[in-house]
Amino acid sequence: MKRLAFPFLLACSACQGPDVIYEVEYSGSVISDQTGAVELWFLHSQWGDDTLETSYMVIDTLWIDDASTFSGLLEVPQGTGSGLSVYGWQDLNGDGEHCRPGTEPELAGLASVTDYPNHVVEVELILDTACEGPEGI
Amino acid sequence: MISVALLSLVSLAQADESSWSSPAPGQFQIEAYSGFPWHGVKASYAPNSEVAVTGHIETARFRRLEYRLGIQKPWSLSERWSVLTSLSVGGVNQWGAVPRQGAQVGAELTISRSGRVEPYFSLHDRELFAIEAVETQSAEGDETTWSSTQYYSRGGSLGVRVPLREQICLDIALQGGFVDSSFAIPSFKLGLSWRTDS
Repeated sequence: MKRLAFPFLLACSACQGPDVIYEVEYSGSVISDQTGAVELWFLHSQWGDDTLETSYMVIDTLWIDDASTFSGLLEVPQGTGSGLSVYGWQDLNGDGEHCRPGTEPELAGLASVTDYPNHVVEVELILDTACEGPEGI
Repeated sequence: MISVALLSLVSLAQADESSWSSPAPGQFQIEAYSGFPWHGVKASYAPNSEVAVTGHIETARFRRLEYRLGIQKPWSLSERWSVLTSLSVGGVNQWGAVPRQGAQVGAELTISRSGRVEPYFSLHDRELFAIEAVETQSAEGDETTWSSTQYYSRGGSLGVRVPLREQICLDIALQGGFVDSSFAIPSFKLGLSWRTDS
């Protein structure tokens, strides 16, 4: 019975290819003339097909204590995505929200990772735009 | 509204017709159906009065494909009422935003009343052993890992079969329940069956 079961399971599962994850070891720095924690968003620059195509689909996020250096390992799902970008915003007032109404403007920035696709990339992110999301920069 | 229509059809059931839930000994029966979201073909053959063998392939909007081979056994409760029990083994392939693939085993129980209009109610349980493969591409090389997750598809159908001619029967049904352990919007189907002479 086991002899039959394995080929059957294989036949049922061999039609579709595996989900592919592309590992990226990143390092970089955030440049800002302000002080405060920074949230980084790692993004597919483009994602989706046809009418579902969109810009800047989030892959992962990361908080760092201040505008400084950062590094880590990113697992980038392959599929309809292309390009890699990093967006960041600085939490100047410590409320955990970006530019909540009635608060002072907070800086943001966007960088395209030109090394990608590569398993080792470097990023320099400059926060110099107030209150914008990745699409607005 | 639909219940009233079904009850009206049930009240018409008078003739002493043989059941369309399973073929008679020596008969081959095939049904093609369409609806939302399922379309499919089911064939069955009864080598004797005890059991029938079945082959079934269906697709949900051409994004999910299910195929199964099975065996079914009719049980007579009375002159008109009968129960059909089925066991099946097969596979699932699903493409798109939520890809899925794996082997599936299933059981189904159908109670029906034979007549000029044949109402039926069925319950099914299908267990999918989904196989997921992830290929990780790193600086050290590529590595593929495999994992398995079990999902259940449980639900029921309420329908009627309306024999149009001796060898042709119309099948209308509403279906509902869970697909891959998630509640699915109810579906409907319209099918046409044909069978050989006994």
